[in-house]
Amino acid sequence: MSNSFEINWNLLLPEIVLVTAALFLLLLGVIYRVRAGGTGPALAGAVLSLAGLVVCAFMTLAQWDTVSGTFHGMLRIDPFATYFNLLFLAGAAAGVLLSVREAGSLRGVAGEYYALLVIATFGMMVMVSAADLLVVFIGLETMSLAVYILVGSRREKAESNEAALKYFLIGAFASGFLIYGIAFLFGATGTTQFRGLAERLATTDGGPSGLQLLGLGLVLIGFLFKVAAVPFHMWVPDAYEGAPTPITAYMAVAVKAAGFAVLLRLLNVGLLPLASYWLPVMWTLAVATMLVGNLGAIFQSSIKRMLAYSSIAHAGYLLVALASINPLAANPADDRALLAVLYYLAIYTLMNVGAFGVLIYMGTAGRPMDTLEQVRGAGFRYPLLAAAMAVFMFSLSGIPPTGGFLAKFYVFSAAIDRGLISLAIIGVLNSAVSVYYYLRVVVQMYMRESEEPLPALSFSLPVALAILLSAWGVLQLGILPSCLLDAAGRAVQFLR
Amino acid sequence: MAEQILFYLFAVIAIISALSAVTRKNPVVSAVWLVSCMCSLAVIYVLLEAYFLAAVQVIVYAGAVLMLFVFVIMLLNLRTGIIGQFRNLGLKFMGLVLTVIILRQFYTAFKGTSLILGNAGGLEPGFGEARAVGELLFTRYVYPLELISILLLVAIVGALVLAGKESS
Amino acid sequence: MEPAAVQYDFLRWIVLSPLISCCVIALLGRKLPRVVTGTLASASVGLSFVFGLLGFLQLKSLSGHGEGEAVFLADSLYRWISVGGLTADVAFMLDRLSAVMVLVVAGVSCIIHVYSMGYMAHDKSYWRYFSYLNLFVFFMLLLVSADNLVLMFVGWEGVGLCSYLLIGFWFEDMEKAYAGKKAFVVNRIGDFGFLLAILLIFWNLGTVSFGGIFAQAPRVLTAGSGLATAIALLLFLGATGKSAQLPLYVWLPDAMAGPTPVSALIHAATMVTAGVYMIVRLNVLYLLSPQAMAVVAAVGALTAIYAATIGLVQDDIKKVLAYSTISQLGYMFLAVGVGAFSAGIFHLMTHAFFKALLFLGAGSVIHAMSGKQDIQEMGGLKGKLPATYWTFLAATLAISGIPPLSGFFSKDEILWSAFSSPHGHWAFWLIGWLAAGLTAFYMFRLLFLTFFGTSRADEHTRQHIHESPSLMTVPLAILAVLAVVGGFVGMPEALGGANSFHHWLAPVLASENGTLNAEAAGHFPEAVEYLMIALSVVVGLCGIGAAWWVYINRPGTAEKMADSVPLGYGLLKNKYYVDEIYNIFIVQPVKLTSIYILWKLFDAGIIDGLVNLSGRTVRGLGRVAARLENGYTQAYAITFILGVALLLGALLW
Repeated sequence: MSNSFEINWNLLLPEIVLVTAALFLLLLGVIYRVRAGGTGPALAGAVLSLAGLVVCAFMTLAQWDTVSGTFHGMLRIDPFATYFNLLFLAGAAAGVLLSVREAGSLRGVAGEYYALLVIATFGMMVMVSAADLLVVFIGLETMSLAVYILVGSRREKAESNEAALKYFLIGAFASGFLIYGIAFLFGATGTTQFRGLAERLATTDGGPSGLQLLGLGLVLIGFLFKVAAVPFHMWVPDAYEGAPTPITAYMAVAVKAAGFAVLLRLLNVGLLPLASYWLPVMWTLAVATMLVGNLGAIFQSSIKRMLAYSSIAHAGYLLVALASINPLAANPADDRALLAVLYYLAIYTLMNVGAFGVLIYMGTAGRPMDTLEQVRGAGFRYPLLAAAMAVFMFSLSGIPPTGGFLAKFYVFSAAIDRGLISLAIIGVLNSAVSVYYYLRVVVQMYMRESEEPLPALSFSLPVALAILLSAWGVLQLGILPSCLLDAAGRAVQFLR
Repeated sequence: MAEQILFYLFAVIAIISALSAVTRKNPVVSAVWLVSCMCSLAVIYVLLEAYFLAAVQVIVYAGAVLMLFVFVIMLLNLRTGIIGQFRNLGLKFMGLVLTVIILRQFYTAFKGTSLILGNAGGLEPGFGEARAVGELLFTRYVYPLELISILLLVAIVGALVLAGKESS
Repeated sequence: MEPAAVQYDFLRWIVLSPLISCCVIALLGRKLPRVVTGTLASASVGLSFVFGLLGFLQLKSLSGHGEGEAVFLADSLYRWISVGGLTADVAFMLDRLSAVMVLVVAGVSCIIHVYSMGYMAHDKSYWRYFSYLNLFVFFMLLLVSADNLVLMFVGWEGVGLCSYLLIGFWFEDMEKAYAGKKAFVVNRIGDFGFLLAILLIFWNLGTVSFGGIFAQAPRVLTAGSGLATAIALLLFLGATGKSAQLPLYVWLPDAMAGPTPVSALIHAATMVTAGVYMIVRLNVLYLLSPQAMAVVAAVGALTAIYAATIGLVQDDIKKVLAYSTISQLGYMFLAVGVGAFSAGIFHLMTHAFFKALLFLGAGSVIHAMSGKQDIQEMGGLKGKLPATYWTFLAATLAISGIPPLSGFFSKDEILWSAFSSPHGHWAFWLIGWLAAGLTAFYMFRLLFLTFFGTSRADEHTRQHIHESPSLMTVPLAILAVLAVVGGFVGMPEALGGANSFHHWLAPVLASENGTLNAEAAGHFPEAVEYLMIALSVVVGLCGIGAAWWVYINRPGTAEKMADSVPLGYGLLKNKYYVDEIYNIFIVQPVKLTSIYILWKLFDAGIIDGLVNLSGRTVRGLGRVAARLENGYTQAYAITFILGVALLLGALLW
């Protein structure tokens, strides 16, 4: 019995690399703890984790053409997984780059900090390449636990601790619902594998049973929490504001992408037979999420908090795409909604990394950049940074020729395609509202004078690199999006 | 019949213990209720002929994990009252109403659903023994098993980051 | 008949030339000498004009003078969007319509660039100004030469963005920065309509390229159907925002906060006419919906008279011109609304000449008056600013519709179409006719108050009055020539002209190709047309005469009139209180709704309310604050549970 299967370890190589990197990073903490202080451990940690991420990215890239599964069908590597794995790795690399400048404040846990960042990424990769709900759950927990800790990694700051605790408590609550839902789905179908689920759900006579729907609902809740859909969004502003800014950026991009990636796979494979039940749910949630996110953002004076609400709003736009999925599409590559989600998430990653990067860069040790008043006059004191910020804000609000415009355009055209005209109208109206608060940042930078002279900033190559690459990507993918779209098209081809 | 009576008895005990665990103000008392809950679950596992699982449940959860809880609570010298300051009637009332609504929904969901769980043809020989569980864990479920090892590693690292001594 | 596309590689350079210059100036502008920056910026736009001219000549040689077969030049760079059935290329097309637009845009832009070199010579952000201006020209040319709706939308948004940057250019002034924001936000309302229209067009026609739309629309959309009307009206919503029509015009007067050449270029000659261009471009869609056409015409006519009345009493020289622009744009919409698309474009062109000239002249006046803009403080400038005066006079005569200046021909054609077109109505004509009289009146009021009489400026300002440098007066002269003779290309047949403008555009306009026009012409005897022409000249002259009587012959009459009808005067002076009304009925309710209902309800209202309420009942208010922080997480959990209950409820019932 035990010899009846073989494991294709090659499929797991990227993940193995990441875990190895994480282990070395932990050792680093031990080595450097002997002689404490200095920026040595932080720098070494950054270099090591970057190296791990890059090697892993190359190995992931090498899997681009692989469509294969192993571990009794629990692991499935396909272009969809690979696409998202690369996205997570990019998000993690950005997180590392953005962290370098603040690493001085890590107080002796730099190795652990980077190790957790790497492991959180590992958890995401496990999630998105899982073909079984159990594995998804474990991956999700690995990611979540690491991120909870990262949020609280600034131990000396009360708000960081508070944010971590709140996030953890609500997150544990959500995980409870998720595992409960998985249990019910198992109870109703006898399997936790995606394909198996789809088969059993499709063959249920007389429509789905109550138990199946209960399982569907509870599982959805678990993921909707992670992607910050209303009304499971309450943790977002606190957690985003309290966390160290690089971690906020990482959460905003990678955690959200991971949530949506798994949701996509789950909805399109395992729960596809229940599409007529979850599509209206997504419709409603999309409307609520867009409204709350955008209206919430209007009244924020902290840019970080504004971006937190903006991240809720963007979850809403992505939910519009989920509500526009065509469950009957013969070839998933023709389903514009799926493509829209993949393109959107990539652009979203770039915009947010860039925006948070600029905030980090503009802040100095004694004066973290946070409120709208603080960026006054930045357009003239820091012309390049401010120009980059303007690009990110325009992209976030969906103004051409940035990637953000195309992303929204795809989402709304997907909605129109499925005849969800009212949803598209609500979405476009919301994005019109959003211009107001994104633009406010630009107005403050360019059209207001600073009350006190802005300090000179020390050059930071890693942060500058992250900002530059993001700005380039946002423009490049807005003007020449075809390479990304081709990749996304290939990724969704193997989704169903 | 006897099995069913035992099942319902311990199921009720488990629920009451769980409720008590989250409503008691003294953390030590809470922890003890949790032990009671875990043990009741272990009995249910026994009823399901999952003997090994039952033993693990008692040894690991009731024995190791919860004893650790109690030790930690005692070491930190948490007084009663730290937990349980939250006495907001409005929220409590709302929570209660919503819980009732959700329970009602669960009832709707279960009503008329026939479970297809269980093995009608009887259990395989050796089911629930350590060998069978071990074989499953290291063949079919080897991937999740390995992943859990990393999850636990994260937990340890987390404890270190959040509670470790500051070096500077 | 499908129009034939002819590949023409130069097209891309029409658009790219200003972009390259913009990038160079943005990167190096700080270090380059001012002369180089200004010359580079102007030359790049001049190059666009030259390429545009080459394209125009090519087009002409391909299709002959008259209503030859429909040919257009095309230049495709690459495939931009390709998802499912949706494809859009970065591709340009130059047909007869966009050729006219390219020439007008590039030509006027080039002149204004040169003028700006003089006007902005002493500004500290010279290079920033020119890089924005070049960027604007890039987006504007992209808008008019795009071959599909999505690319056009990029230009559409881009010009809005640049307009916003340039309005707020002198950011030191809070009010100006606010004006920029207002322009942007109001425009977004219009853009929202435009974007939805694009999505609807794509959904129904399966294409966003103009060629595809022209071919598909008549086949797929039923004439007069609700869908066609919806698309046309959504597009028109976009146009009202960009072209400052009722009810979205409020941003344009405030936009005058920007530098005057910017007002001339963006808020008079080019960007604000984009809405007219868009409707003419998509005339196929509009002809499918007579209802939408009627709406367009009505809005245009109402805007024309509405803005003209406000223009009567404004004292800020630029505000008068701003309301005049809104009013003239109303004429253009009236024209396209009654199906006289070529008349709309014709007026767009002549208006670009004389309105740009008026603004530049105003700029010259402001320059001379040390920045003062109140016409009540001017007067007697005729002798001191001769070049400015004569060019300003030419433009004023043109806008007042005095023959044979350009404005006469275009305005007359619009009025005649409003009366005679099957889509028209005598009421439209009457409104347009009255507005023409008002236009003549307020424009000459402006002219008389500014240039005639005795100077009312203070001593200090008076000493500094001087004619502008030739860098500014030469562009004025060029524009003056255009404003005087520009109308002859569209001289109506009734007056012995060839109306070659009309014939040039005919192939790209579905209506004037077919039966509509012939039918219209047959309706009325020629005498009616002559009568109409005479009437419009008369009303113009009456307006001028009235202005002369009030402001030159009997100074002080204006004040007496204002005193005798204080209510009416106040209403006009305060622009019908529209800003205030918007604030009360739209801005505040939206704000309050979002704060008190949606925002508070979702994130704070119910939960916090309950926390507070029970806090009062249980422990008293004093301790609430202390426990709030503790309460939040539980409150979050309750919201979560609420979500669970709702979601499960939705699934299980």
